[in-house]
Amino acid sequence: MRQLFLAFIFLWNQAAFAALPLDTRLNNSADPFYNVKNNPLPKTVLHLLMDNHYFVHSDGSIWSPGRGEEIRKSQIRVLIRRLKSTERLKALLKIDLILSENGSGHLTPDELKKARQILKGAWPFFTMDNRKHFSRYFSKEELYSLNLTPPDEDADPDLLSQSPLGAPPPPPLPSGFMSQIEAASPPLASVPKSGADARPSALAAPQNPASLMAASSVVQNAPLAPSPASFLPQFQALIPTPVPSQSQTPVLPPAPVAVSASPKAALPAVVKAAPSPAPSLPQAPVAPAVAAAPAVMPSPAPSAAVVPASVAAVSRVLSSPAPSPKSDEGARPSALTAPAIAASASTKKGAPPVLKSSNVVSGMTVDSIRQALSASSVIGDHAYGIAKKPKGPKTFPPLKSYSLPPLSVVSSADFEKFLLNAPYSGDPKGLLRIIDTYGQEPFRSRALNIVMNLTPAIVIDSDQMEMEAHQKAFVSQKAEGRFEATVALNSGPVLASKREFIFEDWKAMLPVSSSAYQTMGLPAPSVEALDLSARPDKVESGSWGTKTQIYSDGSERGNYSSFEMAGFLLHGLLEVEAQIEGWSAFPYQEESYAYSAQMLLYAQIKDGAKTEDFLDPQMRALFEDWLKHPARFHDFLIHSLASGQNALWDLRHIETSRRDYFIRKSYVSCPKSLAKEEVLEKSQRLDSMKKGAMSLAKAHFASESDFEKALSNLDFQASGIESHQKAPSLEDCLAYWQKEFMGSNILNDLMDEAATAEKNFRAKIGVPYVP
Amino acid sequence: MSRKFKLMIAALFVAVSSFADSGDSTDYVSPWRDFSCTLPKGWVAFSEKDQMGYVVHILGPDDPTGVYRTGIDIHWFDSSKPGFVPLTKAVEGMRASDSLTQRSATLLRVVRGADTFARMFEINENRWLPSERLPSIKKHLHSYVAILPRGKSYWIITLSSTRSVYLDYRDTFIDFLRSFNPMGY
Repeated sequence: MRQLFLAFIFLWNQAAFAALPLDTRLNNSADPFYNVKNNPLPKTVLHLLMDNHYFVHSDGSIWSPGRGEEIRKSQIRVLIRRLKSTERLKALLKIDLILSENGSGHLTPDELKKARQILKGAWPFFTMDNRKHFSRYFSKEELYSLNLTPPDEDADPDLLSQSPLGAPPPPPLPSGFMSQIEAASPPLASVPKSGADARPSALAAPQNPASLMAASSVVQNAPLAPSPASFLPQFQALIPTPVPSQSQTPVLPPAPVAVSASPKAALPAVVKAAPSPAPSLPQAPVAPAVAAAPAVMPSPAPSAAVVPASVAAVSRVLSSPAPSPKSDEGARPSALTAPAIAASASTKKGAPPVLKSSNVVSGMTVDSIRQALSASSVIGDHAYGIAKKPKGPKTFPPLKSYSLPPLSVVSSADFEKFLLNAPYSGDPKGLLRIIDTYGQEPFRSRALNIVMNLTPAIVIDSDQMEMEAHQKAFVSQKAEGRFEATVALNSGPVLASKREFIFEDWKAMLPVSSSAYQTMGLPAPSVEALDLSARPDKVESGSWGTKTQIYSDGSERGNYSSFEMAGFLLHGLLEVEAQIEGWSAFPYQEESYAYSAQMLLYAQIKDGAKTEDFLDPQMRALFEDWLKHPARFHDFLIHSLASGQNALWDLRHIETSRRDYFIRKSYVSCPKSLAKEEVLEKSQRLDSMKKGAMSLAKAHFASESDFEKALSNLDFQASGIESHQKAPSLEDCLAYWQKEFMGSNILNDLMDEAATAEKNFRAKIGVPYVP
Repeated sequence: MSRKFKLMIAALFVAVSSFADSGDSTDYVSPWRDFSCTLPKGWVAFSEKDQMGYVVHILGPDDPTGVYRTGIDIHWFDSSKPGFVPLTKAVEGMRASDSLTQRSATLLRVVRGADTFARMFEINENRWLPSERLPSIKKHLHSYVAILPRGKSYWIITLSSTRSVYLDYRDTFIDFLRSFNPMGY
């Protein structure tokens, strides 16, 4: 019977295994291995992995110690979190041992030095709360340099997992770092190396950053590394349980508790209470800032003004003589929260605690260590240089709702009257007249209202376009609240092609603006059409303009027609409105709305001219799609805007529910939310530059050495984003999110407005909605 | 059969089913609950309104040069909506060639969907990418298009990417179609 049962089990397993999909049988082959070359890790994390005996191979793969398994992409996040948590725990226990050994409450210079050394080593892995606890051990200057590394924080998985562009990319490895790692790593003879070609092809493809987040649940079962859980039994023994009160002495805030110095001795949880002196006599309250001044610090003490009340309160408690808890309270309160301490210190009977500045550094209570251990999800603001604020519920004014104001329709007569005295030259006036004549409502009136109310500068200058292809809108707000806007338009594209041997002909539309190449860190390609001193071989009418200049190297400088440029101007004016009204924060909707306006204008012009020849081939292809296959047009727009080079995509801003949740959440976490947003924007922009440079290099418009230089330059800039981040003020942050909320409120109405206009147009001309 | 034996068999069932379920993809149900599907790992979905109802876009990895993000788009064409185009005419329009973009389509073939057969073809075309930024490179775009009819209405599911990476997503698309499960019909 037993044999039969075993045979049955064996066959069952075989059958079940065979029934599984192939990729599951191949041990999750859909989950690629992590590679630090493709997805660089911060230096601190790499060192952490190596310190924990992980092998980082020169090909970028990571191998676990012991069984020598290669780490998968889905595992890396949990692994790093575990290692960081272990580092934190180790440091906290070491500090606790020092404090326990000391016992007296006064750290000797040697002990202080040791403690500071431990803290400095673990600082990159500390959470914000840990850092707040231990900031007293360092001077302001030291803290500044230590806090250049952001605190360890777990990003909001709810938001980040939704965003393909989610978190800013980690700083890349410095050049030569891999060789250092290899030199430092033990030989890999015993490591079963499978070779890069054995891995799934998905590894080579660029991965969505969200995949790491989304996959984090997969790894929960995977045995990875010595997890903190395996340390916990011995470490938990080191953390004593609260001691029940024994005496009847008046209640005072909890005292520092010394943990037995030796871990072995600590195993049976032997906890000796600190000497409990007589209750202190009532004394005049001293300002918390005075209490917080660490007199025993060898380095310059932090100024009283920057010490937060919470630290002062904790310091006051820590520095007070050890109390004897009241018997009716039972056990000592286990959580030492600053407000609770402050409240208990002021309201309970007994004297206010004695404030001894010399004792400030002395005692980390077990409770405070517990608190430090448990505080891991607080998002830090040190990384962004934001001054500490007292803890407590923030009371921000509620976000104000906003609705789309009624559109004031501009009559042609009024606009013509305005144009007569408007400070515009002939070309912009001509373009504005085209918008007035062919523009479709409501877009026409929105754009003309901007012109009449704001009188933005309109310049036709390719040099101001930077990396934009058609139009660029700049808006600035003056001190008195007045807006100033400029719309720059591209006069024509510069086209060049490079042949790669006999196989492929790369055609590129190049930026004219020298600043575009400067920001990418590349020299401008040696293309005659980009050289203003070069004379064209011939000027002829072609698909890229009626006066297309053709140069001896085959490059061309085209010119856009006035009708096409009127569309760019309409698009640019609506971008100006979007920036003023706050909906420029939602690039997909903004672009979608502006494209609807632009394409309806072209459709109206086409209706009159009976031709599409006024559009260049690129715009004509877009227009044809919009006209005949609107669904395909919108799909293309999304995929194009979501690309890395456009740097416009943020999924948090797409759907109403996610958008409002995100804005509200960011609003209440001001000002750090704005600092994070700015860092994200900057890193996205740098990433976009990188991708642009890569495009040029791939199409042979930049040499490999120039590309590598540009890349290292951009990487260097990316690594310094956070340290150079200027701290935004609370007011700026609140205003920023309020404006975004305002934009979010009117976005749905705007999209409905555009959809209705398109629908009416299609119904009028009888164009069906073909997929 | 002893009770112990039954318990062991039950435990075995649980173990096998948990093993089989330990995949890394995510199930997705459309906001208007008319279909469910399994998202490829790491891809993110969002929906929006369009003139024919709703659209779901599922975004995947970026092209290596960052000019186009691979993604799946699901459009529902409801026969009761004004402006509806019948399936035959729609397929004709979608497969039409275009000299401006050198657009061409492959022949129609039949693939197996979740509970039905889908008609599928591929489209190749040239586009300037990205469209609003410079430098813009003329690139080949590739789309797998599948059509799943439901009465007179139909779904059009497209996976588009640059041609340089399209083969990487062939299996992804087929797997996605197999997981696509219309609901309420």
